[in-house]
Amino acid sequence: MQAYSKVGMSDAQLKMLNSNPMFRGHIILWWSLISVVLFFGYLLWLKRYFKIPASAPSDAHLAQLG
Amino acid sequence: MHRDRSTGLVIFGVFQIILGLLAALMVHLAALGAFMSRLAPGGSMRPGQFISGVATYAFLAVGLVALGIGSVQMKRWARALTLVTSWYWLIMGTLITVLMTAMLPVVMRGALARAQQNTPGGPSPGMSTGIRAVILTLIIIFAAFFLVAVPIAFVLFYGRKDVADTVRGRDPKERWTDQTPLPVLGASVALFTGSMYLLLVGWTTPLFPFFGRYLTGPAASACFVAWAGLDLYLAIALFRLQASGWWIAVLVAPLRLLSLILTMEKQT
Repeated sequence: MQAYSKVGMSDAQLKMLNSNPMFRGHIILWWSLISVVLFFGYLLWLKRYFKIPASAPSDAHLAQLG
Repeated sequence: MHRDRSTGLVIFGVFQIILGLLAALMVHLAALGAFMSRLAPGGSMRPGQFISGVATYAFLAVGLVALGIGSVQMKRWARALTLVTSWYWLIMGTLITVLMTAMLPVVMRGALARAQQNTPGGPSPGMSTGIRAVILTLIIIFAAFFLVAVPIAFVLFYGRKDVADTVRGRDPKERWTDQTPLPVLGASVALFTGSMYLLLVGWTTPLFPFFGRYLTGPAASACFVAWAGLDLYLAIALFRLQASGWWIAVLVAPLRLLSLILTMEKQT
């Protein structure tokens, strides 16, 4: 709540925020946490689309073929 | 030979345009809300709150109208972007609806109690239980319709193979959205939207959770701008299918998690 006062909220607004369970229970932080966890899982699932290109055949391998 | 879905694309496109116009209407209602807040006991709305609301609704309005016009014109990019944003809308909408169902009764009870304290002749919480239940039910049904049912309809329609075939037939030229698989495009769009949101919050409400404490003022704004810059870079890198972008995104996510967890622990 102290932090909110630094972004220009009046005492009356802070009182209202403090009485609101959405803010008192850190719902916004929980919300952010759930969003980041979900997005992290999604990013891991996306790995299949980011294949590291196969390295070019080495000179030794080319010499063997030749 | 696929079934032609042109009529469906026009109907869904027009629906998106209507939703966009409703979002545009909310811009005016946000302005009215800012004016009315001067009369409320909590005092007038901060300029930041007003700008944040207006910018969010304006962004939604422009996005929905543009996608709606693209759908009516049967463009490939409109189908791809509508599909990925509808998934995002559905997941977030479901979470919001669940949260709202859990929190709204408590919030409303508190608001009524405060109203009675401020105005002795005001509504009595005991007497208005029935009316309160009806209002809550209506709000939850309204939210479930717009946040869950509508995106499900969009995902089911735009995800159909015959819809994809119809737009490919009507818009034969390859578009920029064809360069990237749809799941990656979705992540890229989410990161891009997130970066815009971070810039907005950094400007209107500079309050940044940072490894156990809240930064405020210029330090918070600088952090928001830095996160926004990083998300914008990641959005572009993922869109271009750069493996380095994926690695950076995966390494940065646990840092964000750690920062949030430490801030939550410290504040509770």
